[in-house]
Amino acid sequence: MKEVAADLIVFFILALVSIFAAVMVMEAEDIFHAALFLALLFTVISGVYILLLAEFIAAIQLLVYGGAIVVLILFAIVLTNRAGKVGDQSLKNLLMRTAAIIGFTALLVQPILKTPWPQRMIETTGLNTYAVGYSLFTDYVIPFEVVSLALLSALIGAVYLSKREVEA
Amino acid sequence: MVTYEHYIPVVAFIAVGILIPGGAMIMSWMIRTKNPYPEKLTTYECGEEPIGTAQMQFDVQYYIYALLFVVFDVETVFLYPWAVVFTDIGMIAVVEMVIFIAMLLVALVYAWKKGILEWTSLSWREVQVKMEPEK
Repeated sequence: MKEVAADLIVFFILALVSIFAAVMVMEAEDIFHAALFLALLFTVISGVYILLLAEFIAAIQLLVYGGAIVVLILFAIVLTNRAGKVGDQSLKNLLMRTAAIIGFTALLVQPILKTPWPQRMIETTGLNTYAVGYSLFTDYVIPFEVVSLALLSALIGAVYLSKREVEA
Repeated sequence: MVTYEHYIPVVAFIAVGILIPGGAMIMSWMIRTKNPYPEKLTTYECGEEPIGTAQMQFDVQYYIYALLFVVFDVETVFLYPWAVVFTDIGMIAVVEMVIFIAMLLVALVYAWKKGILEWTSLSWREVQVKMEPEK
């Protein structure tokens, strides 16, 4: 019983920080700050995955979202010239943002109410990473190797595009 | 059945990581003298007078390093499950991973051969020329 209470406390801390970070992503005046809050959000979400005892997803969340995607967004920001540019703070923009948030929340109400949420946590074997690894390196070897080809082509494409711009 | 006990060191690590730098900054904020003047508040740039703002357009050369990082970051994602299972699967898993890494090495060699990893100061000078009118 004591452990359940600790879960709840940690969950509420993570939930509060993630809501704060998500709001700041939208409200930060500098887009660079918004991207850094996005990094905080991704990191906190990985904490939620650990709370669900899905440690492999948590590691991927940290590495791919908290690492790779945030780095790409940050570099995309510094590659653009944004001196003296701040977000649109007009009333029209504020109304549109509010309408978008209310609309999106309204879309979520139905699924949240209809989903039969489990009343208690499903016990996991704690061998998530093992299960993923085992099927990845036995049954799904071909898709795994195809991923390396996809990464290879992504990098060759990037080299081609950036090389042309450097020389131009 | 797994419990959260494994994560107590992680929580302790995060707590120490927040408390020590946070405490150091609060301590220095409390005991330091405060005497700001305009020159002191300028951005420190190796003792030089800063030119333009920090929000200028950076060179595309930086981006290729980011993309290289992303590619090898995704590789790391696959190394985790591999490290857990490779003793059970044996040599086949090792061969599979060697093929995977070899593919990415081809990408690295290609980028190297194309001279992407070489830092050219030419385009950096172009950026400086672009900034001149702002002065």
